[in-house]
Order: sequence, then structure tokens, then C-alpha cells
Amino acid sequence: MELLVIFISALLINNFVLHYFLGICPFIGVSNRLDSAFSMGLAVTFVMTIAATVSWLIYYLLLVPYHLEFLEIVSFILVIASLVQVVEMFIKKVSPPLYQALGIYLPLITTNCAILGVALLTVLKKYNFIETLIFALGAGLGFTLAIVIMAGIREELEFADVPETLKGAGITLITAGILALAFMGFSGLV
Amino acid sequence: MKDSLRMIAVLTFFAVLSGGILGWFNTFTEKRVKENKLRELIASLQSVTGMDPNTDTYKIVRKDKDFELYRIISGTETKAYAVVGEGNGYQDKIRLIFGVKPDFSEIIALKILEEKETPGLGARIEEEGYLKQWKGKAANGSLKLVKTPTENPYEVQAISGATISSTAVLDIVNKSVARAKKLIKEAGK
Amino acid sequence: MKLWKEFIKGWWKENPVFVMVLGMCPTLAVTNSVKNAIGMIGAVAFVLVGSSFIVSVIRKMVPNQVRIATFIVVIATFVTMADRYLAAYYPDLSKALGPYVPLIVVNCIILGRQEAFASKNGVVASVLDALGMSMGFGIALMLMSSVREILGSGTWLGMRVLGSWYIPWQVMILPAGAFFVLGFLIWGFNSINKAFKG
Repeated sequence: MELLVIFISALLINNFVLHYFLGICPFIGVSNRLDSAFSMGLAVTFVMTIAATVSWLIYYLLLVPYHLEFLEIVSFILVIASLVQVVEMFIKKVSPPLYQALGIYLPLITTNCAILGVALLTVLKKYNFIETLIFALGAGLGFTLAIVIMAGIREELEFADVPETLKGAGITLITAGILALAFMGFSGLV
Repeated sequence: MKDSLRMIAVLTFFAVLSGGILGWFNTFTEKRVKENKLRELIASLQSVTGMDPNTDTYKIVRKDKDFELYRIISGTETKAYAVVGEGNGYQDKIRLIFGVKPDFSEIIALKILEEKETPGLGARIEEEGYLKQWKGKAANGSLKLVKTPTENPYEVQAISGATISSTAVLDIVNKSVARAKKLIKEAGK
Repeated sequence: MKLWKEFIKGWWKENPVFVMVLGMCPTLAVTNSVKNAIGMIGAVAFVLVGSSFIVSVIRKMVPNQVRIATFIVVIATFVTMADRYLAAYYPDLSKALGPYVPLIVVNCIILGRQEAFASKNGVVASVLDALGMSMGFGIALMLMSSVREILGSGTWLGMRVLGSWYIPWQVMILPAGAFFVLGFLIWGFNSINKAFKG
């Protein structure tokens, strides 16, 4: 039950993009086509889940026992950076089609604040291992949901007569604002 | 070969240097952070139980992630209990603390520690106008929510337009009272 | 003269937030009050200037392949110092900013400046560039947070600026308001730039 609450909360109520503002850069950059948005979302979900669990293990099995909590930020970012490299090499070897689909997004993910954000939030929220796993999965799918909806809207927006100076980041942010308002309807769900 | 050795050497050097600097920096800040936490706890205990930090002491009975129980001791006598409880609100977790008389007859005061409810609606659970009604309510674990002003010690008035947040606070209090009572009973045996 | 240019380019012409659209996450997340914004500006300026200084000093001894990794370690060190300092001396602010202080590590403005500027330029120019970029970031955050706090709570830095007649426009301090305000500010910024060019 508690796990379901964590999942729904990360997916809809406290959506990573629309509530925590994490992963805004790819959200604005990669959300102009539906298929690339979907691939990006899946790549993020994948890396996010692995990164969150590995960071959890590092934090509770290495940093806490030796009272090195202050190395949290340094170790998390290094774990994520090297993890992205490993995942990239692994996918390239095991599944070339998957690499074709996700490959170009993987390097971008290192600086995606959503990944580090999940790792930091699981520590802040004092989640246990299973909760961390569910939280990261929900957050990743929530990111995918937001970016896919956004891409769908932006594909339509191409046919709209948007003022020259509002094009690009401006109109995307205002659309995101309306989406955030819509997502507020999910509050109180749990 | 020489290149990769140099790469490893440089990276290791900076990582070790960084760790050293942070470890040194941490020795200054860690103590302050701990003091801050302690001061915050005592201030909360003081505001919900009327504990006098100069003469009274407190003892941690239980400290979990979502539940904490403190016994406030004046001399040798238990003066009050302070309970920290947590639960889901409208938007995110709500965390609160309240003080109860040692016989659990009534609540002394209630304070919200953390909430991320909607500003202007649910966030009004932090306002004095709502919080002051908790004084003197029965600490029986089965308080009820009503929509109109009430003097009845078994009822609490909801904030209009924020029923979910009000219900959440009420549930957290009821649940925590029950848990605290059970713990104290077990300890008394 | 050239150095002066490095300093002021970040204010308007290459403003990291409005023109380069970088560092969106803190810009949106902590601008619900001016106080939070000031805390964030301070932390970012400290990290940016500190790491630009160190990176420009060490730029010649770092092999190219581990460049980024080294920069990240340097940045993360400064971020941890800022984070611990806030937790020790400004506990309320530290609580309000939550995970957004550690997240400065992945703020694209910081790594971007190291990669584009500090790793190629001397110490003085790099520090000025960092100061200028911090100013630009500061201007953007102050603008955002002022609009949001005044409209959303009727106050500025906690002081009442709009009378009691004003019913706060609460959506402004909600996440949705952040997106709206930034969207409109970028629109305004582009329009002004276009008008001056034309």
C-alpha cells in the first residue's frame, strides 16, 4: 500500500518535471517529436532506476557506516557519470537495435538533473531499498509521461501561429505551465 | 600507457584532494548542524508541551522514521508527552508534533513541522487560527472532523476548502495518539 | 577593456537563463520567494566563481580525456561546501532549498562555463566571466522571484508591498506559475532584443 502511494505520488502528484522541475533541459530540448521524446523517456527511466538503487547502496553500505555522508554529492555524481558510460557500452554490445534507439540520448543523461535528483531525494525522504526502486521507477515513468504529452502538444503547435519571439523555449514553458495546472488535478489522489 | 597512467593519477589526485578538503570542512559544519537540530527539537517541544528548557529534561521513548515519542520530565515527574507523527496530505507528506497531558486526557498544543499543501487552502493548517482549536481536545485517538465551529472536545473543525488536508492532520493525530498510548502501556508493564 | 566585456556579457547579451536557457531547474524551483532566490544566487555564484578559478589554474595539467570528470569533482567539492555551510549557518534556508543546492552540480551553467571558458582562458578572465554569469543568473532569478512573490503573496522579501486589498494570486507561487512567469519573461526578453536589433 505504502509502495503504491510512493509510485503514484512520484508518477502524477509530484511529477518530476511539472512539480520538482527536474529534467527541464531535455524536456525543452527533446520534446519536439513524439518518438524521440518516448525514447528519451525510456532511456531516462532505465538509467534513473539503476542510478537510484546503486546510489542507495553506496550511501547506506559505504558512506553511512564510515561517517562519510558529506561525500554524498561527489560520490553520487561520479557514480551516475560512470554508470551512464557502462550502460552505454553494455547496450551497445547486447542489443544494437536498442542502442540505435537510445544511444544518442545516453550522454545527455549525465547532466540530466532528474537522475541526481532521484538519488538525492531518496536519501532526503529516508526511503528503504524497495521504496527507492519504486520511487525511481515512478519518477522515470512520470518524466516519460510529461515529455510525451509535451511532444504531442508541440507537434500540433507547429501548425499554430505563434509570435516569432515566443517560439521555442517561451511557448514550451507556457504550455508546461498549463500542463502543471492540469496535473494539479491529481493532488489528493492518495 | 603513460597517458592513461597520467589520467588515473590526475583524477585520483583531485578526488583525494576533494575528499580531504571536504572532510576538513565537515569538522566545522557537522557540529553546528547537530546543534541546529537539537535547538529546533527543543523549541518544538517547548511550544507544544510548555516544557521549560532550563529546569525540565526530555527522554526519547521511541524514534522511528514516521513516529517519535518524547517524555518531558520535570524533577522526577512526567510532565507531558510530545508526539511526532507523519502521514500523507493533499500534495505530499505532512509532519507534525503535538503535546499531550501525561494521562492522555487532553492535547496541549499542536504544531506543523513540514507540509507542502496548496498555498491559501491546505497550507492554512499552519495558521494560528486553525492550530489554536487543538488546545484541550481529547487525546483519545478517535477525534471527529466537523464543518462548523465547535467547543466539543471530541470534535475538530475542518478548514473550508481544505477538507483533505484537515482530514490528513486529524488522521495523523488519531493514529499517533493510539500508537503512543500503546507504547507507554507496554513500557509500564 | 576586453576583460570588462567578459564581465558584462553575461548580464544581458549572453544571459545564461534568458538567452542560453540554461539552469532552468533552480530558476523555476526556488523562485517562489525572493529570500530563497537570494540563497540560491549566493550558492551558485560561490560555486561558479570558485570552480572557474580552480579550473583555469589547473587547466594545463589535466589530460583532455578526464577533463569533464575532473571538472565535475571540482564543482561537486564546491557544491558540498556551499551545502554544508548553508545547513550549518542558515538551517531554515537550507531546508527551504532542499535538494536544489546539491543539484547545482548538474546545473548546466556551471559545467558549461568550465567547458566553454575557464578551461581555455586565464585566471583573471575566467573569474570575471564567472562573476558576470553569476550576475546574469542573479538578475534572472531576482526578476522571477520578485514577480512571483509580489503577485503570489503580495510581499517582497517578506515585506508587505501590496495593501490588504490585494488578494494573492496564489497560482504564482505554485509550480504552474513558475512556468508561466519564465515563459512570459523569455518572450519579453526576446521581443526587446528584436526591437533593438530592428
